[in-house]
Amino acid sequence: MEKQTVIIAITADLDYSGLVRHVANEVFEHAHFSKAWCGRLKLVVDELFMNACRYGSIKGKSVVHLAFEYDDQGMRFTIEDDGTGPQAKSAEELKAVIQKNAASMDVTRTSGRGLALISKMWTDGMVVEKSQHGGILISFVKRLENAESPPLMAPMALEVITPEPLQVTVTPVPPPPTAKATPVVKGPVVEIKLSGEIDQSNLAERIAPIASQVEIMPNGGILALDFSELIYINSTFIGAMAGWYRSLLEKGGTIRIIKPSPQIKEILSLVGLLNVLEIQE
Amino acid sequence: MPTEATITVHSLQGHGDVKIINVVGELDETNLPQFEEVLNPLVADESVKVFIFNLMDLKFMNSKVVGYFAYLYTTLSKFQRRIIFACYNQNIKDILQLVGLDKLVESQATLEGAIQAAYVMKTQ
Repeated sequence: MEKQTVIIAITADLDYSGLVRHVANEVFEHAHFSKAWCGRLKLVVDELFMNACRYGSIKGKSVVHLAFEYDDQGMRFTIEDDGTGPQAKSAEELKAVIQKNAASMDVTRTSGRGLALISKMWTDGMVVEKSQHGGILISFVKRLENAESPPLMAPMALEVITPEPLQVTVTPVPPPPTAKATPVVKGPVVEIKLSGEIDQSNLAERIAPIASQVEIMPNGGILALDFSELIYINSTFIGAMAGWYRSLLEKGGTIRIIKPSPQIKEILSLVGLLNVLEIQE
Repeated sequence: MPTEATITVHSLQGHGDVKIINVVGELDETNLPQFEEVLNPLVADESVKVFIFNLMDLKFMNSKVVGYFAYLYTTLSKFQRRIIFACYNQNIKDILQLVGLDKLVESQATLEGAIQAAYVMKTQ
């Protein structure tokens, strides 16, 4: 397929979100993405359009520019705003936010919940730069599943955080003495210290010892996860934690998170775990 | 052209504390207030114990809507009230998995399965 380009200029109004999604889906289908990937990339476009409208534009006045460029290898999508919105950030400011929150993938806390996760997990690279239209230009690339060549564009240059190696230590801790005279039957507290980053590269080896511990936890047992030196957890680890929580809950136990960083607390809050788990500051 | 969704609420026959919320169409930031308007009175009604969301015909939802579901889960689970997702498609499954919400909220492949799960929850 020769390189194809679809360019759209559309009024900055969230009421056009459905139209933008529809067009995006059509283009992704035409570019031969699978149905599943059409759905995912449509969502990425939706998130970017939402942010361009809400933060970088004046509703009904500004114009948002979208471009889809694709060939046999994959797709490059670009979206630009004019930067006139009351909450607009410059490209440098947005990149600074991205770098600051890279560890938690909370890239755009000021520009849309979920965008960071979605972009990180579902694209092959994202770039933020100044737009010729005055605001921000954000682009992402996605290779077709069967493409063999390198990506069309290098992944976004983020500050690389080199964490200390992840350490997991299992330390049985006796339950704290109860102040009441009536004895309360409680299971043990098992403390596991985590540090560094937990991502797809080390997920299996980090999850396994914790999962084994959860399996043998007695009724009423408390799994205390020390997050004080933990920099980053990915969504799969969060999902595993939710599964452990449900298992322990069925046995009258719970999970205690010790000293989570603000970034990790933000992620736990996003998925609703912050108010479910016991947090020890 | 705001995004369109039709939201209807039914009580399970003989079980007024179980609500089935049918969502048809697409949900995003533009019609999330409409969704909240329907749900918030049910959240405020403490007699409603189980919320079954029939998502069979929900074609799309974005992160704003996921955020609202996370809020619902957090708010309701504090008081032993439950949510069940029923019949969602691959697109909805993808975003729920991405943020881990699928691990927190029970899901059922069929509406009948969700209703059965609601009965079980009520007896627990």
